Amino acid sequence: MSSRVCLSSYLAALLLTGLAALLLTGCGDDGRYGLEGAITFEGQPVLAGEILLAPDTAQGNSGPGAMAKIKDGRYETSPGKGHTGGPHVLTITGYDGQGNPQSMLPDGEILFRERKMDLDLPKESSAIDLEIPSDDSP
Amino acid sequence: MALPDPIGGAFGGTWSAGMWVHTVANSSSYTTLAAAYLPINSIDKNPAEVWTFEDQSRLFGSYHPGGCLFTMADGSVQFVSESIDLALYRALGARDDGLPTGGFTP
Repeated sequence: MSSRVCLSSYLAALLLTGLAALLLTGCGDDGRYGLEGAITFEGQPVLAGEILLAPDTAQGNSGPGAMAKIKDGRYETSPGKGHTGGPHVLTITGYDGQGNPQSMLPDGEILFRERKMDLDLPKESSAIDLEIPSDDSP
Repeated sequence: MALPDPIGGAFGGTWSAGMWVHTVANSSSYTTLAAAYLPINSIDKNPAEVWTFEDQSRLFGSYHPGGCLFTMADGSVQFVSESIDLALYRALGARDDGLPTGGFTP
């Protein structure tokens, strides 16, 4: 009797460990891939902003899309909510990062707004640096 | 104040487009309450963080894992997964695109 109790608690512990491992590793390849990198505007790091990654339907791609927050010159998609690969249209807005964090505009003044960029994203987590050209560049 | 400029490109209908208003001080904000523009639950916030106009006015979200409950115009309530195709989701939010809303998998 006691050995059965021991065995079942051992199994339970094993199951819990496996569950914890699954949770910690994010279940491996779930079809969502992280994207991160440096982002600069006119050569300077972008201090605040955001990137919307929308599947490019004009190129036959589909999927849920993803958001990436820009902070201190780098951007990163939210954990577990990456893109699904293939052609995407990035919509990028940058701020100067000098806003009051308690205000309704915590990111400060706009540097550039909703710049579009086409990117064919790999079906794996990756790092791509982005340079946003100035308004008057060709 | 400059003319408002709808976001969301092709979709001009109600829920799928927010309105962005520029003010003289070069600050700006959206003026809609919410929109099916950004993916569901795509902005991660905990309840203690400030929700800005930019967040609220372009997003539907919830603290439910995996999606959000929507009340449809027919009165039904449906859970829509945050992994719904973005183009389909935006099309569902468009009032005047002439497309049917039936048959999608929420």
